[in-house]
Amino acid sequence: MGCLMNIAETLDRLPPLPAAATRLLRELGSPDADLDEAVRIIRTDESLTASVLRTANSAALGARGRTLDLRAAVVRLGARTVAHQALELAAAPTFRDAGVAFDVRRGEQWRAAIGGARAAEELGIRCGAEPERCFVAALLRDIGRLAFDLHHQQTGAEIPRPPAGEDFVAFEHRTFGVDHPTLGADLATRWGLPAEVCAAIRHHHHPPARDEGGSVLLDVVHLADAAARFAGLGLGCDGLLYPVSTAAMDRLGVDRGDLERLALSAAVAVFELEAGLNDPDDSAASRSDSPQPADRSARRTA
Amino acid sequence: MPQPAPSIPSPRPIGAPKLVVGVADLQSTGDRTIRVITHALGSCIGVTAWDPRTRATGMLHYMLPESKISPDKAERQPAMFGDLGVPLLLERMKALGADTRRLVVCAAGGAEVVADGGTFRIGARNRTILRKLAWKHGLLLAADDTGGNFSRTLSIDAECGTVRIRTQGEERTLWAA
Repeated sequence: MGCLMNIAETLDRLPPLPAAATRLLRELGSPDADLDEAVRIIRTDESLTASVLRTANSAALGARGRTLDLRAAVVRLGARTVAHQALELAAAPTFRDAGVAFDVRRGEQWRAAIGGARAAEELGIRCGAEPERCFVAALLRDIGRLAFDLHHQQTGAEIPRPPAGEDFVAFEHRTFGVDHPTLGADLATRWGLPAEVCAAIRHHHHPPARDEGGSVLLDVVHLADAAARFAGLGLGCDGLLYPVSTAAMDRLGVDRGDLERLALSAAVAVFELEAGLNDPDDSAASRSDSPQPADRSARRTA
Repeated sequence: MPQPAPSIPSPRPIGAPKLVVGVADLQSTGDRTIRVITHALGSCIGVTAWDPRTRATGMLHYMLPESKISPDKAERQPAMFGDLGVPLLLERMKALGADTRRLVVCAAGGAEVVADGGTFRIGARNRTILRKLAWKHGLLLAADDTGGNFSRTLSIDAECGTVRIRTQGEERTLWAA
């Protein structure tokens, strides 16, 4: 694949996120996220407002009575769910189709984003990191794949199958001259996301030591990504070709059992999401071949 | 005197209707017309069970070997764990009229994180629990494709019991009558 420098150039051609979604992600990704400011941002976007109200009024949340008040809806849902919706709206259809160049099934990249984000939030709370920031950084950790996808769509170029045993980021770099964490961080920088969120995206497979620019957030996002992979989320041709940093585990005081429980949480988060938080009208079609939620009844697909 | 199993037809086309088994999920069916499939088997293990006489078919996709790591999640989602999921799979098969002595059991998955260094070995531990449970329940693994670093898709044709594996863009038959 000789046109690999072109992959980095696709960043210029990726469609921008809607303004409201970008502002919301910036707000929730900042060290001092302000719920009131988040509500003001949502109000500026009609589709985002409609989505928040629809979810707040869904039967899955057990909400009694309908609310037409956005502030009450945000309180009911929490900033986390609002962030889901912001990115989901912004990313449709881009994010739902993400990962195609990596042989990730349709919709799976989004599931991996959600599972990893919930795991990061849980781990962040435990480790004293800002949970919303952990959530946003983990949610966006693989956006660099969008550049590979666009390159794939425009040129038809396939990612060659990586050899067993090689770190996939090293493989990407060796094969393409660039890797998805670097592209993702560059994209997040263009979107104006906070610097530490960009750093978490850049280092989500290889978090540096504290004296080399590392932080709790970087370790959290790295381990959340590993937990999502243990849950089988977002696996494509890269499989399990990403090492898990035991140094990051030591720094956060996380052992093997903790990481495995985090994987369970990531899986459950996706089950819950699919069980009810999505409007069936706009999600069923895109998930027709996805694993089912917790009460998964037998079903057939053609 | 045991009756001979009916003749086994050829595998149906890949485009046949399918029953999707999610992560931490278990499905069983007496419907011969479909293909049961699970995706994204990384360190998780997928287990197929098929009775050649009744054509009862089941599949389990478990994440971790032992439920003691999270009793609350085990209560809500027993198929997350091999130690609960495998017996549950056998119960479901019996409920469909299958005889566990006739079952053709296959497995796939159990991959490892690259450069693990022995820290996790989730795939190996998942494989070990399956072997222990197979021995305990008198099951013989007819075929398996486990280990490595890549994810797999596992499917079984309910009519003929043919088990297929797809990994790294290539599909092959793991077991056929």
